[in-house]
Amino acid sequence: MRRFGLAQLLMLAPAHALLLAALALPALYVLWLSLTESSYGSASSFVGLANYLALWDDRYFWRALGNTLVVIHIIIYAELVLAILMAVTFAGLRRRRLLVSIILMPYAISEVVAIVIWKFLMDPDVGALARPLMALGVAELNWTTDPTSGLTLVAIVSIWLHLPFSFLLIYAAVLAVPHELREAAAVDGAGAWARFRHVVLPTILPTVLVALVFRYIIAFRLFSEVWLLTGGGPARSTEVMALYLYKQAFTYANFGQGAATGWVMVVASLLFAAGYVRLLQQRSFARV
Amino acid sequence: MTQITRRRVLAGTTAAALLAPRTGRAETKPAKLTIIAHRVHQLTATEGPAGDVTASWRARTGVALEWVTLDLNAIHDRLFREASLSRSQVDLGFMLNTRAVPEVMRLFEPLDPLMARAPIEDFADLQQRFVDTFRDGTAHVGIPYRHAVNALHYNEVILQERGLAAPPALIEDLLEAARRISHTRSDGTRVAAFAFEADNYPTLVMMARAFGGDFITEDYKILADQPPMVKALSLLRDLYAEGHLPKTIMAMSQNDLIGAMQAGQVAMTTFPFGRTVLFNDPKVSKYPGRFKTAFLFSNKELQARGALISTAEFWSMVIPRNAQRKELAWDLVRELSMRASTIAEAINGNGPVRASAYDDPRLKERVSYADQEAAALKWSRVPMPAFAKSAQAKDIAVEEMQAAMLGMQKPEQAARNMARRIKPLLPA
Repeated sequence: MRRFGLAQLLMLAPAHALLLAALALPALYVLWLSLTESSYGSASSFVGLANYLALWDDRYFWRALGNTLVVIHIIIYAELVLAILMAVTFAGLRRRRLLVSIILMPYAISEVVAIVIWKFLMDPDVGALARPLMALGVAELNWTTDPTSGLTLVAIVSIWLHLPFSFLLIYAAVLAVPHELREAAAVDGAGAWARFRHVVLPTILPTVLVALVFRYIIAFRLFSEVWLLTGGGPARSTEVMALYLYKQAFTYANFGQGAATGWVMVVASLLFAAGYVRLLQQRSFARV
Repeated sequence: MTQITRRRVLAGTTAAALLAPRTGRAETKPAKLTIIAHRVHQLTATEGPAGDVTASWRARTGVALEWVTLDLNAIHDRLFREASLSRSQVDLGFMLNTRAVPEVMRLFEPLDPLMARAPIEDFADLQQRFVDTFRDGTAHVGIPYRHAVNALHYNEVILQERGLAAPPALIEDLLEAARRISHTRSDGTRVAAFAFEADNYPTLVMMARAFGGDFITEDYKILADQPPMVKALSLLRDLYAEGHLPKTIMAMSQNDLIGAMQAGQVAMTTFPFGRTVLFNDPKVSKYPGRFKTAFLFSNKELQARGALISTAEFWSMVIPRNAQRKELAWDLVRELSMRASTIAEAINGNGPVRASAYDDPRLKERVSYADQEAAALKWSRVPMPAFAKSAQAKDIAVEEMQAAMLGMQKPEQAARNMARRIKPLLPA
């Protein structure tokens, strides 16, 4: 093996410097900000952990955290199940290009435009989707007044928006499952479910875990769907963490508490993702 | 043929780099002046029936204007952030009255020395209560540009169809009128009698004032737990529970509300007078020319003495302390504040901040609601005085109002909560 010396370190230095400048320094600055009381027109003053304690005492923070955890788990797992189902189904079809293109379409639409269109479609009074649904006997959709319905719509829209991401990763993994393995399983008498359970799923599991980790980190930042559909209302009941952060930092100009919220989000998402990363390491990168 | 060699490229680049700063220093005037504003400020200053008010200034100075238009929160965030830097490229900004608190005003240039050198035309003609709001101690830091006085806008076709010649003038009559107006059309479309921005608080404050109370007084006394506010919350709850407000009102943006009015899904709403142009726009409205304006709901006692309920907010122009071209920015402020400019901007849809503008025959001829707006302006008050934590107070008011409207808590409890939670946020 070649020796890793000063020359190699120097060659890697620009990349490290870029990472430091683009990621580490801003993150450290936000950490420092979270330990200060800071607003427009006044000098920052060090307050220790006061901003974190203020979060601890704020019931809206806990509500936002609770909403975030419930909604993102629903979004991530529903999205993964759908992505696996579609990937496996489409992989077995002959003319699948059109279907794959249709699945990818939400990614081609601007997020804001897509959410606003969903909002129009689901308007209980005039929505082109809501009214037929109600005519079919589906209970009245009170997503603007009922927090559970509001967050359910947020989850549906978010799954619709981000399904292409999980689908693409998993679809590629399903296509990469060796045909011989499936054939051998079929010869041994395995049915469709057994082939999926014992051949396809173990093979694609590392990719599923990668998708899961990415989606955890991305979903924790859930903002646009809530902001544009419910605005966090009624009465702040559908607020999520990113919205809480936005209010603290940009509406109340309370930069310290906003920064503290940001760090709590980072730590929480990393904690949740850590379990899956460990599993991923064991499954994919373990030394034989 | 001349060959491009590495040496020539290097020499050329070095020469260009050495010459560039000299060229920059040779420029005596900046190419542009950067302004942070709302889109409505840009539109009223540069577009409309009266034309571009800034055209002659740009021609005279040779300076272009770069308008950076943002949403309400984003304007202030960007402006205050820029003003907090050691040096800013932003030359002029527009600030809402509720943001004019001492901590923030310190970030902006005191205008008195500039005013002494180059005064604003007929300064006393500007609404002095608007001018006074933007004082940091004795120093002026803002010059008013626009007011937004609220009116009751109504669709006269819908009202006539439901047997009403005019909207209710008294707050006590609103619920009864709403019961007559709300209905479902033959095509299944629901028409709601009334709507307002339920993610904001001015309509709630207007109703509390119409019942004889208030929200927060000018001297920072909280009156939110008094009976008039309870009555206002109860009225909103009843209007919602009986279906006289749109079902989606909690999630309706300003654009959604304007669209619903234009489509005839809502019969009455509260908005600044100038919005009538949008409601009546033949390109997008189903009822062009049939939207009228009226004064906000009042009460018998006020009506008897000829007083009005009127809420207004206003915008002022401010120059960041760290701006690089303060004299030029001030020159533009003077231009936009001239009497002729104020009238032209008003014809373009702006709320004129000069009392005399409403006497101008051109304005009377072109702006149908000019007399009404002038009367409302005379009685107008801001929904809430400025203080550092006003954004939190607004959110608390909205939250408690929504909770009361949806029956999540009783109006009495919501009013008590509002007062208890806002009181610690007020200046001592």
